[in-house]
Amino acid sequence: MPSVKQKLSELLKVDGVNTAVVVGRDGFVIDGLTNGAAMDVEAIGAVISTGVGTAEVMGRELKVGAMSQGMMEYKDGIILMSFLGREAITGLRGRGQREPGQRALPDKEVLPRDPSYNLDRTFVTVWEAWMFRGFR
Amino acid sequence: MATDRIDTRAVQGVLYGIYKALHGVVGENSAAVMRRAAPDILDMLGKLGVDFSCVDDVNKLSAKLGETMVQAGMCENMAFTLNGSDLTADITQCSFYPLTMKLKEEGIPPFGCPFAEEGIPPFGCPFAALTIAIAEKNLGKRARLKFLEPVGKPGDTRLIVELTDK
Repeated sequence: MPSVKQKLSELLKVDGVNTAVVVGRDGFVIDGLTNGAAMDVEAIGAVISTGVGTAEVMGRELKVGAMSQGMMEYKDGIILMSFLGREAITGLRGRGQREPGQRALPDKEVLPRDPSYNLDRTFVTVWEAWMFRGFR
Repeated sequence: MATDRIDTRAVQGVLYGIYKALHGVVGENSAAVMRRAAPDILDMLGKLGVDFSCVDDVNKLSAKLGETMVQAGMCENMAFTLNGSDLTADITQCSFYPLTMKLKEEGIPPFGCPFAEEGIPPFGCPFAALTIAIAEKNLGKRARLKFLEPVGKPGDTRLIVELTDK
């Protein structure tokens, strides 16, 4: 089975993806890779985790069910966060600057199903958050 | 100033509001905020004269942090053991137990001690936060809370922090 690092490396080969990080609910960065971009690991871990947490609370308050993924679109890129369960990793790729009529996420790619990648920690049993930053 | 007369009830009242609001906004991922806060807690303690800079190995961490927590009235005792990469701390009679119980009643993952639910990291535990912060800053390790549950009498707690090389 490929390691988390190997899987992250594969994700970085997707056109436009320049950062891929696996983060626990506690903000602990389990692993992360970039295409040379500077990364403050602790800061990223905290903002991903709290960002997902806030989005989950928003969904709960608005009664729209459990969160499956989140995306934020910025001037120079997209941040995508989805949940990594025991059974599968879902990766998404997209473009940061859309042409009129173009979907933000033109392709959806489900990566091969794998067991838990040994991410099943005491309190990280359900999911971890992924972030892909900087789609071009 | 009456800094030598601080009542733990006042501290628990303030913390209750902060933790409840934090949980209301960030939900189950509140632990990430505490992890982020831990180095700043350490820095502020240093500025207030509670200095951990002498801690450069696990034995000193055990002695200094345990002694400081007891002197500060946070608990009656804090004893560490290192087993492989797991640093275990046994905390006796945590002073924030009433706060823990109140949070539990409201379904909020606890401040400190017991009742951490599976899949939800406990957050806010100052013992864990300081252990993690000192291990990462002074010992050059990566540290992650692995276990936090009650043991023994009400108020007694065991926490385990996993230490890995950076």
